[in-house]
Amino acid sequence: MNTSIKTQHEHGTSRESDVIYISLKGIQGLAKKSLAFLFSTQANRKYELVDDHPDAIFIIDFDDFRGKAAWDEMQSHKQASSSKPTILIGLDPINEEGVVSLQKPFRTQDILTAIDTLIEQREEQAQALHNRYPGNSDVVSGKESAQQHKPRMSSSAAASLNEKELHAFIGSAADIDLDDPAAIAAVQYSPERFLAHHLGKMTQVALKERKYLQLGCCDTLFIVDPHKQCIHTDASPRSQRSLGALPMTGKSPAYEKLTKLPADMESRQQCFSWEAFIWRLALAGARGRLPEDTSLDQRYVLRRWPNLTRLMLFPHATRISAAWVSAPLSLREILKELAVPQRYVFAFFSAASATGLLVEAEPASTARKEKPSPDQPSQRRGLFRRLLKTLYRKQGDNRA
Amino acid sequence: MNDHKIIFTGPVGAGKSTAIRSLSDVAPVSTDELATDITRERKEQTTVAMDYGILKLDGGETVHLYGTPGQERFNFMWDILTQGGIGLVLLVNNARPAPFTDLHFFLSAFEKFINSTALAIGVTQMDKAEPGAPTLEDYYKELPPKYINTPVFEVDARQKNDVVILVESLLFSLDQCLEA
Ligand SMILES: Nc1nc2c(ncn2[C@@H]2O[C@H](COP(=O)(O)OP(=O)(O)OP(=O)(O)O)[C@@H](O)[C@H]2O)c(=O)[nH]1
Ligand SMILES: [Mg+2]
Repeated sequence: MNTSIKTQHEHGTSRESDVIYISLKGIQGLAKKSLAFLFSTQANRKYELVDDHPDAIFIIDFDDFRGKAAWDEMQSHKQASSSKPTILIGLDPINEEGVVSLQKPFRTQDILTAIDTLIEQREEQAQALHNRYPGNSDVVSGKESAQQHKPRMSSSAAASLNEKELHAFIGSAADIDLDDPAAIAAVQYSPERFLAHHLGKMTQVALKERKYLQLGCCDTLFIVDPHKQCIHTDASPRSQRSLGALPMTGKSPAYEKLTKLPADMESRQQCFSWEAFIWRLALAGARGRLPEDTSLDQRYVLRRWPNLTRLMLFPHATRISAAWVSAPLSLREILKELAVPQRYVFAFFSAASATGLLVEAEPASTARKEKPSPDQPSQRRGLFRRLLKTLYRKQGDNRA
Repeated sequence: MNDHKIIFTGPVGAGKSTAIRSLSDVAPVSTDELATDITRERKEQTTVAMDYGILKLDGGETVHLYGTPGQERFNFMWDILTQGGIGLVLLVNNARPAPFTDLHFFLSAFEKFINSTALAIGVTQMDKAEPGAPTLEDYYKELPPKYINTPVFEVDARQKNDVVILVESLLFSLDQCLEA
């Protein structure tokens, strides 16, 4: 027991302080300087640009002849270099197996996410190797591999985000001026470029038509199971954030109908509640931003409460749910009413839209529904506030 | 003055005693006895009178947590019990044969109380339910229109977090402008 706690802890801290070596190919001049600057601004990570290093992550510009040459060179030594973690960037969609690719123009955050993805993949491979050939500390690996074989159904408890995760899933953008179109554009993203949007659309169809639907994307298969109301996938829970966070390149993925669940998927028994899965991926893709073309004045309403006890929870999610369930509200209205940092409302909007729970309100229903007024709400607000504080503390207890 | 309370109700085995134990700051008082007659096949212990727990707030205030006995299907005490209550937490046992019958029974038994306060529903034992058992979406479809804004969550009464989130949603249903 002790061993396992200690090892996990050490693992956590070593990751924080480890230097991440980056080797750039075909990227020089201003582009190189900007990347170096981007890396230097990351407070919780240390990056170092190198020419070559056994642990280096390569970033290769496909549009530059030197980059292309470096890639061809790596391919010709494929035996030796096949495991070199690589990010390919280019103006055209890149279809190379086993690498992460980014299509220009991309946001700086995308490159950091891509790097995290490769690091996570490397750690996973190391863990898999370690599980296969456990050393002395097999207390930990034994426990973890047992967990991996457990069927994962919707019964896992709600996960509250720690600070690092909060940054990864919600971002840390400051509030913007809602009357400044340029500022609004800067906090928007295209949902079509992220997996959650497509999985969400497919899931709605699968549940409605009660059919198995399958989507292949990003070297991973996803099958919506309308009977168990879950999504089968071989993606490990650890890789889910990067699956959701990385913009897809190339044309958008299409889904297909299956008559039954493939035997290997069934035997793997790893099926995630669709709501929790899409919610998480959507948060990872949005990072506290808003889908583009979202009107701040269109009113939206929640069809029902999100199943908050089983979802990735972030600050104010319960309050935002309560407000959007009880009345159709526009983004402008809800931000004014709740006065919480915009990124939480934007994150909620993205996740609740991707799961199909938040929908445009019908024009007829724009009037606020009057709630039957509870006994002296204003007198009780003080009590509720103190009660809430006690509850938040208990949530903290549970997490520790 | 200092008699704030939250009422937990629901059918046999829904997890009322367990939820109050998860939340209470003091060892809860339960009047569990070995189950007799009908309940015996399903569970060992059942509450015969009442569950009782306490939440201690900063500043010395307390909120009382009361659980109704699941076996007793109707009790004139309920009216007295709910007076001045903050709201109702209804736990529904999804592994029972007809959970919707239970749902409607408790909604109508506490109708007056719910109308003047608020309601949060926790569906428990979803991990143990048979494949055809209702989903959360089914519960929303089943709710009478006036309860359509009610939070309905999957809850495992043994998980403190689940119970805490459920009670939070109850408070925010009463007043969205609450701040922490
Ligand atoms: N598997 C599972 N067990 C649960 C869940 N919630 C509660 N339990 C267990 O179910 C059993 C019944 O819970 P109780 O708290 O005794 O139920 P109760 O509502 O007080 O029942 P009565 O007093 O008979 O009305 C306990 O053993 C709990 O630990 C759940 O979501 N899943
Ligand atoms: Mg009991």
